[in-house]
Amino acid sequence: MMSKQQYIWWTGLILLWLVKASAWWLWLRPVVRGWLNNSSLPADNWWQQALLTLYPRLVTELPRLGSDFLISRADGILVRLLLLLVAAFLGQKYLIPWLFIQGKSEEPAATLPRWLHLATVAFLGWFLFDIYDDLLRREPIAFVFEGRWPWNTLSLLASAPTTKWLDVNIGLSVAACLLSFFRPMHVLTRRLLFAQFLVLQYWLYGYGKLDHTYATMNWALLAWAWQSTLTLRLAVVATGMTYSLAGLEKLLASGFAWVIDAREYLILEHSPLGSALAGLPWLSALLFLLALLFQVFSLPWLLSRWRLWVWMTTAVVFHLVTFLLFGAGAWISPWYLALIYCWHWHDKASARPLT
Amino acid sequence: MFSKGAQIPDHLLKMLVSTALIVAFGIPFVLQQDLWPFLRMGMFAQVAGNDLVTENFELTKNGTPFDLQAVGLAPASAQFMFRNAWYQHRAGVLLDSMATHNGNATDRWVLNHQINNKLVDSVVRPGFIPSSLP
Repeated sequence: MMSKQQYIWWTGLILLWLVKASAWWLWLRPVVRGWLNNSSLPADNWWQQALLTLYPRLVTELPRLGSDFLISRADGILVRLLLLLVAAFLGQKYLIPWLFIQGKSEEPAATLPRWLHLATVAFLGWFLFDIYDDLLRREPIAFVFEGRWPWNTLSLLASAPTTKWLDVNIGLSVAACLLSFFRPMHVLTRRLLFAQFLVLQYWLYGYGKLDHTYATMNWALLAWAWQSTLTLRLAVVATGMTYSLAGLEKLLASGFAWVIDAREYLILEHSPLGSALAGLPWLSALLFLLALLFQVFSLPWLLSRWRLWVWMTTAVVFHLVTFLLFGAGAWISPWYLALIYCWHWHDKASARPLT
Repeated sequence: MFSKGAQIPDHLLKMLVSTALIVAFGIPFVLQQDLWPFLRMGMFAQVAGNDLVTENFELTKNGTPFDLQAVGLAPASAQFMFRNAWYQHRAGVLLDSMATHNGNATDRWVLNHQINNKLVDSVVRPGFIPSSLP
């Protein structure tokens, strides 16, 4: 039952959304459309400058996609804002109490088992080298690409000699991985390694591209660096939310055309398995539909204990099939670390599911 | 911070966690924009189509296509970089950098913009001085 204060709070938020939606449709939409129709995209006032700062790719995408497409994406922001309100309401009602009340009443996962620590260090080491390798291959970009605001503010890093800085960085991280096994520095080294992993991702991001699969690995590493029931549950929730949002993105950006036109993806990617599947349009559409359902409903499935094994098996198959069909990901993917943490959460006798 | 016997009051911790979740997932989801280190999950979200416009950038040095792989730049990375520089009106900066690292002041560096394999525009390195001029 909502308190009076909560009732006022949520009513206010919905009213605010209605005001924003009205302002967009009745006033701002034609103004922005007029601006987008001017292909040079002048930045004459604050909102034009703000838009170009927030979406620097507007300049890149306008000639290719056209103003209608971009306006429809702007319409989508309002829909997404409403969905976020609904999600925040449900989250406040179900997720936050689950993260705190049940978490507190159970045995806290104050220390993770040694095998999980070993697995985390192995994954972290692997992907530190993966980023290192990625940055080295992009090294020629470093002297022409300054990085985007506000990430270029760390100019000290960006202007340092790339290879030397990376060598020192990776050397220190290997030492820190070893140190993290021994007291008394193990907690500090775990947290430093977590921070360093973020900094390396920042560098990749500064060049304009980032592998989104690190998203859930970051949450698993948070539970590794700050070990508690709360952070472990946060990692599980974050994993479920990541999959669910990826599914929602597909629905919002493309609708069911994403499923119906599945063959196009398979034909364009041209993998041996994809080409074979493209000859069976119904089967490829069914496969895409199943993938979409798996993604959208990941969060509730993941938080339900008896279905977790089905979910995890599906998740592994999902990633392997994605890799085989589209070449996206690899045999070893950052996602697997998040899955291992979900498994550990499930494996703990104290970890009671939400439903 | 989140360990047993944490000093942070419960209501503050709840607020921090709620805010972190909204910032990490909500804002990139609403704005459809990557925010480091919180990422948007829009990979493969667009409908695929085979009626796409093919866009290509070609870098030439003294009229000859420059071998980018010889300087360790993969073709996909190069296209990504050229495209960014082109639409951000920084092709001149890019060509200057290329000239500084891979040639001398008399080299003529040109970035060609091709749509569906047809040349539509070019940018010549701003610092280029034709040798025929005094």
